[in-house]
Amino acid sequence: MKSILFYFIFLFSITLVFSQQTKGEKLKEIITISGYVKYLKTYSYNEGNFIGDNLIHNRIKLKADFSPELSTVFEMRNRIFYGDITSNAFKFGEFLDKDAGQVDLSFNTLNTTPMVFNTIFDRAYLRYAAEKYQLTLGRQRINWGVNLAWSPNDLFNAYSLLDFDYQERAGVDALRFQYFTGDLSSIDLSIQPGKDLNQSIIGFLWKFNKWERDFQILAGNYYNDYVFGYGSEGTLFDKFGFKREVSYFIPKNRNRKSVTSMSTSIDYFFKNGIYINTSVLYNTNSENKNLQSDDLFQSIIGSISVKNLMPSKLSYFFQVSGPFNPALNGSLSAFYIKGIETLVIAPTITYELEQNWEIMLLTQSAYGKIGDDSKNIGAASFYFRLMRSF
Amino acid sequence: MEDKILIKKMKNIYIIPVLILSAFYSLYSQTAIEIIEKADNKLRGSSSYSEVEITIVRPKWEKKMILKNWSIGSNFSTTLVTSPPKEKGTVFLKRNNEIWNYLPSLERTVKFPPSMMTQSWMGTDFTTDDLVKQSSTVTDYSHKILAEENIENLPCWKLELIPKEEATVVWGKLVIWVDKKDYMQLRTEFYDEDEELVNLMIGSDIKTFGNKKLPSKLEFIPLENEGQKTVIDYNVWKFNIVIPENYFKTQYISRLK
Repeated sequence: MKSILFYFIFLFSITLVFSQQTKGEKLKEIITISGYVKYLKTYSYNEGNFIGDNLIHNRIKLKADFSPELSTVFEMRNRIFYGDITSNAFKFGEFLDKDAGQVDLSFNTLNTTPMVFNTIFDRAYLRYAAEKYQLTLGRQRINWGVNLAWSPNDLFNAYSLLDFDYQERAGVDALRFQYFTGDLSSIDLSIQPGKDLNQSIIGFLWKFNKWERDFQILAGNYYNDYVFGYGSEGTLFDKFGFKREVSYFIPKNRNRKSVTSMSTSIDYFFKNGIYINTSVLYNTNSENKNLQSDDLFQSIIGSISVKNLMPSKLSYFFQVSGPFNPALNGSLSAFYIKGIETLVIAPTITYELEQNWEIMLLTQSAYGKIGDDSKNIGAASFYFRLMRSF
Repeated sequence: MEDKILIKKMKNIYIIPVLILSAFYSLYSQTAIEIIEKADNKLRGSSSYSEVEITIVRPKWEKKMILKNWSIGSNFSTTLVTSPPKEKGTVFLKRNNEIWNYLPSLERTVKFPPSMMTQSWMGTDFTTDDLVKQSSTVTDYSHKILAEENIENLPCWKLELIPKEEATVVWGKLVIWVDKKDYMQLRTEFYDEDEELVNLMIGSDIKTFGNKKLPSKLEFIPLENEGQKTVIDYNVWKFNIVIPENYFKTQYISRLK
C-alpha cells in the first residue's frame, strides 16, 4: 500500500523515458548519471574495547530531464558492511532495513552474520519546474536550515554534523510546492503526510531579502505540535557572516510543555584562507541527562529531531578549517555539550590524490561524564576513507 | 576704459595657457580612467557568457575544473562548476553586494560572509573577488598613466591603480598594461597593502571572440611560491547576449546546467 507512490513515480518516469526515447542518442541527452564509491575503515575504542568495521559505500544519482520543466531524480545508496558490527549479536541488517519514510525503499540484498548489503533509495521524486513555481512529489530533501551546525528551522530533515559520511542526508516522502514571488523571495508549502495530522508535518515557509539580508518565517503542524519559526542570514559589522534560527513548538496537548530551539552562528574567513564558524544552540527540550557510553555517538547522531538537536539545553560548536595547499585540507570541529559536560572533538584531514580521488582521515572522540554514575571516560573512533567520484 | 579692456585682455592671455595646461592634465588623467573603462567594458560587454577551463598547477599536483559564467554588467554574475564530478553543480551567484553559494550535495544555498571575497577561490591562485568582480577597477580605484611600454611587441599603456579610501578591495595597488589598439589587459601586477608585489597575471594566446580580440589564456602566478600558478583558458566567450533573468535568482540557480 505504502509503496504505491514510489511505484507510481518509478513507472511514470520509466514510461516517460521510453516514450521520449526514439534513439539511443536521445536517451543520452535526457539522462545524467553521477555518484561516488567510498571505502570506509573504522576503528572504535570504547571502555577498553576495540572494534573494527568496513564499509563499501556507493551512491548513484540518476536524473532524467524529460523537458526543461519536467524531471525525475532517483538516488540510490548501496552499502556493504562487514566487520565487528555485523558479526556481533546486534541485528544490524534489520536495523538498516527499516525505512523511516512513508514508503519502504530500503532493501537488504544480503543479510548474513559477517556481511550486510543494504540498498536504500533516499531520493525518488518527480519535479515540475515552471518559471514561477516548482512542484516536487516523492522522496526528496527539504532543506530549510540556515546554520551549519544546528538548524531548528529544518523541520523535515534534522541532521547531525557528526554524521560526516552522509552529506546528502536522508530524504522525506513529501509534496512540496514552491512559488517564486520575487527575485529573492518565495513561498513554500511542504507536506509530509501521515495517517493523521499528528503523524504529519505540514510547513509553510516565506523567504525574502531585505537590507542585504535573507529572512525566513515559518509556521506549521509538526506532528503533535504547532510550530512557528524565524531565520535570517546576514552580516555583522560588514565583516562576519551572521545567521540566526529559532523555532517555537506549541503542543496540541496542553499537558506537555512548549519547546524553544534557537541557534546563532558567526563565521569568518581570514585572509590566509582559514575559516572559522562558531555556533550556540539553546534547546529547552533537553533534559541534560548523561549520555550512555554504549550509544555515545548514536545519541548525538541517531536519535536527533528538530525539537531535540542535542541532548543538552546549551551546546556550543566551534570549527576551524582551511587549506594547507589546494590538495590538502584540514579541519577541527568541537562540540561542547553543557549540562552533561561532554566534549566531542573531530579533527579531519582530506587529501585530493588526483582528479576524482580523495583520501580522508578523521577522528571523533568524546570525553566527559558518561553513564548514570557520571564516570569520566573517553571514547573515540578513527576513520580512514578513500573516495572516487564519477 | 581702454585700460580695463587691456587688463581683461592681459588676463585672458594668462588664462589661455592655464586653460590649455589644465585641459591637457584633465585630458591626460581622463585618459587613464578612459583606458581602464574601455578595457573593462570590453571584458564585460553589457552581458557575457563564457566557458572556461581552470588548471591549478602545483609542483607535483594538478587539478582541472570546467566552469560556465554568465554576467550582466558588473552587478550580476553566476558561475556554475560543471567538472570535476565532485564539485559539479556548485554555483556562485553575485547580485550587487551579496554572494550566495549553492551546494548540490547538501541541496542548499548558503549566503557568504563578506570576508569570503578575499579568499582563494576553490584552491586557485585568484580570489573570489577576481572571479565575481565584486570590486571594480573603474570605480574603486584612482588611475594614473605611468609609462608606455611594449608587451609581446604590442604597444601598451602602463597604468597604476590605487584603491580609493572607502573602497573595500583586496589589493594595495595594481599596475596594469593595456594594449593601445584593442584595449586588452595583457599584464597585471597585484601589490599588497605594503606595496609588495605578490601576484602576477599574464594574458596571452590572443583570439577573436565575436568581434573582440582578447587574450584567451590568463595565468595567475603567486610570486612567493615557486612552481605554482592557476591557468584560465577561455574556450567560449560571447558578449552582448540575452541571458534569462532567472539565472541571477537564488531560487533558480540549482537548475542551471
